[in-house]
Amino acid sequence: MIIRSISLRDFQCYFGSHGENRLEFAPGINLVIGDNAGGKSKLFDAFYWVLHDQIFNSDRRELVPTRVYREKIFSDKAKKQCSVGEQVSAEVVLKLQDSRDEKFRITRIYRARRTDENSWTADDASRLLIEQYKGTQWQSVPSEKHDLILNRVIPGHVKPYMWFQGEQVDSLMDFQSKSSLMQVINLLSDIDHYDKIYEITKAGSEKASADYTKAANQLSRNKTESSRLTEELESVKNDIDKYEESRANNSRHKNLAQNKISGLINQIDDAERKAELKMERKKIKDEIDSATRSLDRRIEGLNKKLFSESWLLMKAQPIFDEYSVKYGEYYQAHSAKINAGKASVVELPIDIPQPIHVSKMLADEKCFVCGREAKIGSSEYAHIKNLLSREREETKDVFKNDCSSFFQKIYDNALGFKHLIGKTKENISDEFKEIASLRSSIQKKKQDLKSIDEQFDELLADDKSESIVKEFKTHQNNLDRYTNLVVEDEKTLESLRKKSEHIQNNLDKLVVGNVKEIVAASRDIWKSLREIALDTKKEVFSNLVSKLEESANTIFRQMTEKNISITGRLKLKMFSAESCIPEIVDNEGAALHGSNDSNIILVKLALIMAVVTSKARWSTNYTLISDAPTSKMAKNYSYGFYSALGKNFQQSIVMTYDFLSEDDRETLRDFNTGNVYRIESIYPSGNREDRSDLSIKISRVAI
Amino acid sequence: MMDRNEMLKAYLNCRLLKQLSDLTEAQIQEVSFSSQSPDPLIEALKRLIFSYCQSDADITVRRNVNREIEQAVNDGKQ
Repeated sequence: MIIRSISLRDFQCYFGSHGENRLEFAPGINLVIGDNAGGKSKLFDAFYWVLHDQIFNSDRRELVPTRVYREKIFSDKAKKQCSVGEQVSAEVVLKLQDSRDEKFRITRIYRARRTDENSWTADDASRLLIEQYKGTQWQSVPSEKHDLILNRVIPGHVKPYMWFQGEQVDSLMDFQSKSSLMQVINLLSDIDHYDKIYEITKAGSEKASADYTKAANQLSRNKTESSRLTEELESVKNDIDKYEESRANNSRHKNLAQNKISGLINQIDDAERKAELKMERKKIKDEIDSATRSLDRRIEGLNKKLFSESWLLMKAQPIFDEYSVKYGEYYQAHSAKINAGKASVVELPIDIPQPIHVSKMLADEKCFVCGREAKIGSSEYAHIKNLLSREREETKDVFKNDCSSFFQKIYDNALGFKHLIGKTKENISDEFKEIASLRSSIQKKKQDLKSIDEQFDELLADDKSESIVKEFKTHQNNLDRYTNLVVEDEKTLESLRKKSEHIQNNLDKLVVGNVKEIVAASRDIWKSLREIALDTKKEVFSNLVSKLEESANTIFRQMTEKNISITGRLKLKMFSAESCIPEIVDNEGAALHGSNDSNIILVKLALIMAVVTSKARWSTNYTLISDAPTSKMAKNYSYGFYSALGKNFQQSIVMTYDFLSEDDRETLRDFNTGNVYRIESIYPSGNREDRSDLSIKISRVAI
Repeated sequence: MMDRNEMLKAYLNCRLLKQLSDLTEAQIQEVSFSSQSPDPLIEALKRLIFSYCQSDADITVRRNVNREIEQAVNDGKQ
């Protein structure tokens, strides 16, 4: 919907009829140029009032409804000219045209009657009239359709970003707040749908998981234990949720502190040296973190290998050797006892070698033990054959308790470990060397870190910018504190996850039989849906941020193309999977600090424009209305703003004190300029303090 | 309200979906609301998006997905 005109009658400082206070607008940038106190803000108020029945109370710095503002809404001059018993009426009329050429007229009226010199009886509320031009006349639109029409002029959720005053830009996108940009992204994009879908899958997954647990518990062979474990599992899961939230919060605080520190470094004395030290510190800190992670992994690996690679048995070698000697002695004595009194002495135990091998030796006529030939008929052959005919029963009579098989088993097992232990000596010593080296390296780096911190403290001690140094130290403390908290949260989470897995395994072990297929499938599919929904939400957000960054940079370039004092580009720095803040970076991606107010306002405006012009193309459907958007910018920055405005919005109406001089207005030919007006406050009696003498002169400016 | 095809496309591009689904990359590219897929996970996802984009209440969306899962399990038994 394009705004075709606005006219005012006795509204605030706009004394007089609609004919006297009328401005017409075209596509492109429409400018209303005026000096301070020239009626610009009151004109902005008129747009707001006609649609929303609210007016900006400059004393209270807030929007208030007409029924509260009451007779202050009327022009002082109109009130002065109103006699007792007469009525004064404030009116604003907005004319609009949509893309199908349908025309609408929106009128808001508020009336009051003068009861005596100092008092008024005002209407309880203003009246809204909406008409549509049909055929040859204006026809009233039923009140039930009013909201629909008003929403077509400017929807409530878009309004803060398309109808704003210059002084609001700062608060619209507060870079100090982690959620400021996120709020804008959430508000003006489709990302919240992905959030909602995730919430649905989360609820679905929790319900399906609970159903599965319930069904599994009914099949449990120990229902009391299952019930106890289920409760315990629930409690652990709640703790996991709690710690995940805590980790995310601490992580955000950590990143914010890091960001603030980087920003402050350039503001303090000897900034270059401090920046160097900070970079060095970060490098060493990263190396320490990496070495610590490596050390943790090694120690964990060492614990596992004690069992998996039999390192635990390393010291058992002398015991094995001693046992071998003793077992040898035992074996000799044992064999002697068995063989005593026998015709032939058989030194090998029964079934050693195993009968299958003995049979093979006989078939091959060869002894596999000594390698000699044993031809049929020879004594060797008979000796081997004799091995098969030995009878076990004979041994039973010799001993009351024969432990030989048990001792044999120990000996066999020990033999199995012997080779492993041989290799282990080498591996374990390497591992311990590596661990010792890592520990020493971490220790050394910690000393380096301490030395850097001391140097830094010395530099800070000499710093003259006391408040900045104080702030810096606060953020430094926060950084350390939150870094530690993140590490603690991660450790707790790891332990809780292991505990949860352990409980789940115990629960599964109690189940006898199978849970119904539909219940199991439901749990698995909902779990997958939840994971996919979370992953997609992150990907969509990340893509959105990339597109927004690209779009904001295009606008930022348009804004800064004629300004050589601005370098760098806009970067949306991701703080977590779902939060980011903007900063200006150089070509290598390093943050540029020390941006002045004009730079920051440009960045904010570029982002607002990028958001508004992004997905839903609000910029082609609605008019951007702004009062003094460049009020916090240096003059040479404004040019870029108007240039970007003209290129990105179908229509804008800007109240400004730029272009007051004719020379400045020359540049307007460079932009997609619509209609331009000059407004001036007029005091016929010459007393600028007398607001009851005030009216506004509106004149069209030719470009 | 969101366009359901646009939303389905975003989910089909998800890396994790490619790991969790039984379908090949080429089959995933062919997934749409107008054709049936052999993977119950994909059918459940489609039902989720369809129902959500119809502005169904959350509980209705969940119920519709559960019906889809039940249908898939029953079809698998036959």
